Amino acid sequence: MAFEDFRLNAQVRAALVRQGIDLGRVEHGVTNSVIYIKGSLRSHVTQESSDLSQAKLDEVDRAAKIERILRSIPGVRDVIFQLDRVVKLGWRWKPR
Amino acid sequence: MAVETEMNSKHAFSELRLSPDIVRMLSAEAREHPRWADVQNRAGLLALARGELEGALDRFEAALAINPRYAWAGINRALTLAVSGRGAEAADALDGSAEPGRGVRTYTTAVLALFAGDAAAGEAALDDLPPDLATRPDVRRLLAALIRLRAPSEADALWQRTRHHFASLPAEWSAPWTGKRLSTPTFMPGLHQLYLEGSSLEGRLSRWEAAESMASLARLHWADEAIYLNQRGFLATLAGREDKARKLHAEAARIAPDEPRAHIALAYLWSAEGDLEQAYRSLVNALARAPRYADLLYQMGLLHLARGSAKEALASFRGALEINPDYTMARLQEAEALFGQQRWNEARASYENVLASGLESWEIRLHYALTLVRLGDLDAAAEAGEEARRLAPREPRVLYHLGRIYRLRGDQEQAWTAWTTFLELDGGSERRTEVERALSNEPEDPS
Repeated sequence: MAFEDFRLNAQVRAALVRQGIDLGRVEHGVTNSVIYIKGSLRSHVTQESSDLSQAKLDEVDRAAKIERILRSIPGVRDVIFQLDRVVKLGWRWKPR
Repeated sequence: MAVETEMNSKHAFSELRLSPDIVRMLSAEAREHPRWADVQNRAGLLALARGELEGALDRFEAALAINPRYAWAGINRALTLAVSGRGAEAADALDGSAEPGRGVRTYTTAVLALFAGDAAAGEAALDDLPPDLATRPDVRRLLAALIRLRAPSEADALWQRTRHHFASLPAEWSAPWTGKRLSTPTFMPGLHQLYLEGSSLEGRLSRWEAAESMASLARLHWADEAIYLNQRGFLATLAGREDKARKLHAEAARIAPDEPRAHIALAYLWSAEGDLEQAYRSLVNALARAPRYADLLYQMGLLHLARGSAKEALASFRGALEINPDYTMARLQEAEALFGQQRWNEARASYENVLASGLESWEIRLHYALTLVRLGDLDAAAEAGEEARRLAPREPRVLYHLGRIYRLRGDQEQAWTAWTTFLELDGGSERRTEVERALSNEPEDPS
């Protein structure tokens, strides 16, 4: 499992970079094949809306997409998010 | 006699080839980070690209107010003053500017001479460049522009010999002059920063051709070969072409071995590939050049764990925490490493630090509970175990350990409940026999 964590962490980083996520605003890590994502999923590419509600809705979409991508990486047991502005309740992502 | 320039014309702006959405993104970034010198410098370049010379000067000066030693902002300011017709101030600004990279100030001196129409001074300045820089394509392009002031046919011949460097670009992007006028953006070495950012943004939008063109333009504005190769490596990574990315970064590392970027990129590329040896070499190289990069230390810690070197792993995670004490992921790894080494008091403190940050999972809660068991704090352990059950009510491992905690505490009823559920959910683990045996000595279900 330790080897998987080493490999997965770099794959997570690559996935976040490909999605244009600002790595300065989010921490990522892997422990026992569980991915942890903490912070804010701001995009380098999409302009942040000045309307906070809209910005959170944008982040909801981003979080849902990134969760799908991360869960599809082989060897991942779970993905745990602790995001500043959005939260997953049950199966749905919502603004905080 | 000063030459006619095109910096503030629509033509010059269109030559920069920044798409409207990229301009919007860069503008938004500048508004969002008024105290970041590099962002303000880039905003100045953007203003320059729009032909807003006063706005550009404001941004360069804002960057210098944040960081007075920001050399590129000083160079950009000097050139903008020159384009604005304020030659004496430009010369002073250049004198007061730090050197952003070998040869840049000399190159800029030649550009100022070009703008002033003084070919001899410009050519003399370029003569001072070291031989390896004198053959750069952007230097040759500047030389052609200077020679053209006194001998157009000689300049045309030189340009024809130089043109092949720019073969991948349309002529209007690369020529030192357009029609009868000089195209001044061509001679702004600092524009590479704008082009590199534009290249990255285009790449993130999967507009690969534009991204590659922007990288090429950066190369023609004083981005050296290693920067250019690293940028192309980054684009290859974005495109999911890791083999190509590794080759480009490896070549960049060969050309500029002291620069950290290629080694950092290689460290992550080899890690993602699962190649421990190559990743280790790249991480060592990267950390030697960027020792304060906490993420690299975290990745090195993971590599040590993968090699079975728990002690070295813990040292790496703690190194990352020394740099950034709020690095929750490194704190979690520290807690797990201490847990593995049965250093319970230290593990408890680390887990509590992680949980205080708001990060939690049933595994974190469970390991914290087991740590508390080892420390003899069964009430706290039960509480932590219940938190784990709240997060994963159907996880057999949680139910098994929760049952054990309650049993140790002498709470047979709660142990019975947790273990009964465990037996319902367990798929046949080795713990099953132990639980069945224990339950056979337990009281019947009180309900």
